[in-house]
Amino acid sequence: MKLENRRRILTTHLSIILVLFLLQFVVPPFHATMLTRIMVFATYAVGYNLLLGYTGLMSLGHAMFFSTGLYTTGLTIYYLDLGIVEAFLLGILASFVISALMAFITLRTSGVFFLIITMIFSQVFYLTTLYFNNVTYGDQGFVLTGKLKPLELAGIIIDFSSNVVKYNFALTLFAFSFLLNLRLVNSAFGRILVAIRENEEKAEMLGYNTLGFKRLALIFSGIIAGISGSAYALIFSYVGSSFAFIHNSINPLLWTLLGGAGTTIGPLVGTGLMLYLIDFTSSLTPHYPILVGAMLIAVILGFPPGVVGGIRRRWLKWLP
Amino acid sequence: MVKMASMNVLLETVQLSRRFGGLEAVKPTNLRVRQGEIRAIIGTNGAGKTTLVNMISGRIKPTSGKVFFKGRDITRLKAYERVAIGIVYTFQIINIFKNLTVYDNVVLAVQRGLTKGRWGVLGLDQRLVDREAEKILSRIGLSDSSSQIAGTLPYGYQRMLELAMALPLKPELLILDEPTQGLSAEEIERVATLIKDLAKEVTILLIEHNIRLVLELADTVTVMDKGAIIAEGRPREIEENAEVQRVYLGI
Repeated sequence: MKLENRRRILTTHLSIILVLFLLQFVVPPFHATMLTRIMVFATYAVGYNLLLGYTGLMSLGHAMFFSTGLYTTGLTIYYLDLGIVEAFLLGILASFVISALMAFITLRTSGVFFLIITMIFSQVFYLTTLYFNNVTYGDQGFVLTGKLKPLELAGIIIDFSSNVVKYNFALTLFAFSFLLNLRLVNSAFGRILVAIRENEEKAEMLGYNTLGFKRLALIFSGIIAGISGSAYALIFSYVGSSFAFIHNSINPLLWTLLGGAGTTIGPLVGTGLMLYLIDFTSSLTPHYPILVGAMLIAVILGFPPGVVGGIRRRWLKWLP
Repeated sequence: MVKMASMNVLLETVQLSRRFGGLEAVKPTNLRVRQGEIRAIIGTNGAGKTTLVNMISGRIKPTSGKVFFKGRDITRLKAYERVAIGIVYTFQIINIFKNLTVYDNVVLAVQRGLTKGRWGVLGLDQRLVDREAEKILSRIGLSDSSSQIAGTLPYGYQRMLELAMALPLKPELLILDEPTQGLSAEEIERVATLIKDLAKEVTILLIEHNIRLVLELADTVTVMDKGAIIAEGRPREIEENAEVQRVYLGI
């Protein structure tokens, strides 16, 4: 890749983060909360896209990785009164363990079988959260309001009930996953993932242990999903089993497809569009999923590679 | 040729066979390839040539028998592990990353060649990768097309690209499965030149239908029919072998 392109790519990505940072000073509180939510879910979509867009593996089990982070962080705060940092780190650790386990079990399959087996495991996880509803409060869930101890960092008190803290925490995580993803996909590792997506047989005959690299991609993807789940618990103070349900596996798939699978910026764009679309249409009619569905079909038909994918194909060929 | 007699055996199969259901695609076969030679395998369609080399490259498992490479039993190694010890296979049908650029195709081979071990690739120096890729591209005359999507190259260049992608893997045994299939006379000439060039450094196992090319390139020719080796020898001997003429040349 040309040096000039590298610089242009980095500038674009840093500008997006800068814009997100500046937006909090100009938008009204409602939209600040919307953006916070979008950034948490965009992090989730970035993780999902690493697997779908770059490695070519479509999973319907990411709700399990998301809710592993969500529940680990939520339950340890709720029952064990852990601090935010400990609970957050435990959430990441747990999502690592679960995604590593899944990487060794589910990647024996591929294609539609991979889709089904990840969905099955995820549904088992969902049903487990319902089964232990005396602990998890099942569908109804539980709230962490008042349980989040303020953090003291170098004399500065960080209180998670503050919207400013929430916004910037979400922004930090998003920026981290966004840039990490950019770094990964522009590295030798990312190139191998794309090679696996494009032609796994050839990748193996070039001497790559393709199964090993797919496992690594799934683990990275699962950890990023887990991070967003943990962050959700901390930021929105709510933990419930609806996040373990299959809807929450389909969501990152839709966001990614809408924004552009296999693009670094697509997940953010897709998540942002979708969340605002739902917000807007649900104020018009209670049957808003019909409107959202119709628009999704229109976008996929008009822009098969997604919004950012389409922009890249037509105008900005240098976008990663 | 003088070099043949003194050379060691690089690859040996012992009673290697493969059965697909009721079909014995390859009967127990003993093949010895000496270091440094160009060995051609010829035979009619369905003679078992591709199945045999697939067992050598590790793409399919044998029903019975063993494969030895430099004296080591490699029967249980996976395909990607065999690449690491120097057995590189190029596909019968052109197999490159058609949707990626020429540059990315070459780089994928280069970065594998530069790393030792399974995960070493994660800490590679990109500048070194770039430099090596440039060398390969200029060797096959594709430097100017490096940002072109590989699938849009003329057919012959796609084959050249595929062959070039074998180089950075530092093969000791290069298996070429019908490298001239579907190429024009002019393209065949270019590929033949590249093969001769490669043969200075590596041992080549060549499956080929083009008899003229085989006679021109090969040091030794092995003839297969119905899953078994029916003759082996210098190109001239094979050409004059009555049995070979009957089953293969149809004379």
